[in-house]
Amino acid sequence: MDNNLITETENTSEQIACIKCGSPQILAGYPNKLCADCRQQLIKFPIPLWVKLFGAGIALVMIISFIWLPGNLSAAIALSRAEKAEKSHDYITAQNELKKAQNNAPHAIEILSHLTIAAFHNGDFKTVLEASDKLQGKEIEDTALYNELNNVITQTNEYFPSDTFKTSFKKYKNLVIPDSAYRTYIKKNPMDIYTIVALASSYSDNNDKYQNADTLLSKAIAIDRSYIPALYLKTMIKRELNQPDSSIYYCDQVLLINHQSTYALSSKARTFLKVGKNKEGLLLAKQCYQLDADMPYNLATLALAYHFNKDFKQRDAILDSVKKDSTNAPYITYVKDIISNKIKFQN
Amino acid sequence: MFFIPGVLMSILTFPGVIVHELAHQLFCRWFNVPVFKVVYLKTGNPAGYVLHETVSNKWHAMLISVGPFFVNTIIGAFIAFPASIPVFQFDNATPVDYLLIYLGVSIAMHAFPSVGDGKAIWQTIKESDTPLIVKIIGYPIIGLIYLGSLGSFFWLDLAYGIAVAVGVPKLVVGFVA
Repeated sequence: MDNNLITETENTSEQIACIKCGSPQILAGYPNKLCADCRQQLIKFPIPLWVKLFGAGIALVMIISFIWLPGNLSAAIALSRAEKAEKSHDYITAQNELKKAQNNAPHAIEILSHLTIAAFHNGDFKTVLEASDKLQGKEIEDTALYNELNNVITQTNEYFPSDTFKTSFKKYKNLVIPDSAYRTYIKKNPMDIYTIVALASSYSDNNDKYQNADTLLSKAIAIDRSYIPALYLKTMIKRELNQPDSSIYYCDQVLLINHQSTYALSSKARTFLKVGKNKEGLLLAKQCYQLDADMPYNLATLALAYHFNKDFKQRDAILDSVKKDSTNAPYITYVKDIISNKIKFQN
Repeated sequence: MFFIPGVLMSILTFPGVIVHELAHQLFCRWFNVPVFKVVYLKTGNPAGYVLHETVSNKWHAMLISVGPFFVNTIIGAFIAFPASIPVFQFDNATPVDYLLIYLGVSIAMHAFPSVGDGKAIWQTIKESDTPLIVKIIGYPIIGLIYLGSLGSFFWLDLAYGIAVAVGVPKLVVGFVA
């Protein structure tokens, strides 16, 4: 593959005519005796048509590349940032970056795989299902990514009722499942973590059953120490049982898995508020709001934090802004009950 | 390890040879240097060459020799850049992406100046009237050209082509992200 560049040796003979056309009017000062016309012709040595066409083809390909470059580059940058965020367990940042990447490359296997993982850790199961559906039948070359994805999809199944559960509780289609039915089912299926947490959750509205809920959640965590709904609920139950250190411990367990778990940060903020650490609580509540300004639980926590920090103007502004949305109602009612002392929140 | 003759490699990566020779010719045209013959592609060694008048301006002589290095590198990198992302990062490449990668690598791997190019620079800068700065820049370039030529025996040119087509996009993305 040697692309030689050969230089013409100088004419040493006493040639007085143009070496190309024989004209006597040669231009002086150059190594080769050439007349002005021939020199110009040779400077513009003709490029064959096929080379011109080839060059035009290369130019066209470059134009196509230029057109594709911005989209692919920004998607690649977003993916790279998402991978970094994923490594740091900052799954909200990861998911936001992956959504940007997905706009430019909606079917990219790498993006969909990471999106499934990030969405799982953020509890966004709608995205988990959508992204994993698109991955059906696709080959994932990265073994580590494939294993992690498999793990996430297996774990996702634990977040939904099993077929056995559905069959067993078919008759309670639109009714509240009684305690006894749950307990009988759990006896038969002691490893069904979904049902254990569902029963604990049904106890979480009743002050008298917090202890029962706590016991069930400990059982669930013993089965899977990274089962997020159990850890979430544990942070709340421990707070309500006046065990703030324990509540914060479980918040931190969730935060170890996902540094940006807004629920864990919000719950930790509430625990700080409960023990009178109002400034710390407000700081965390603001952090949650920055991460997710739409989550009703975060908004309610921020309103509570402003309340205990006596910033009533900001508190009321939040309550006013969210009252239009009916999905916020239970959270806002809880805050209003605390404000009106109907519920005694702080010790 | 199996042996692929250089001639066969030149045929397989012919776009790079043509771009290399065309770049020599265009640099000659840019510096008003008459060209006597251009062979854009042939079977054999060298795979192409440009026969031109001896250049009196030392800088021009050097740029005519090393110009294709920059032209092939830049064109190869630009063509391969957007395609290397779906191929190596997104895992969702189309045949067009592979075609662009092939073109990018083919062009970039012929960026290295040939020994002939090195000899042309040597002829130019060995003269006594060559400015010192040209010699300071020129001699290391000649050294690198000969090293590159030696390295091509170990597919250094192909490695360079792949580095330009694949490595540059990764570096850029990593740096910006």
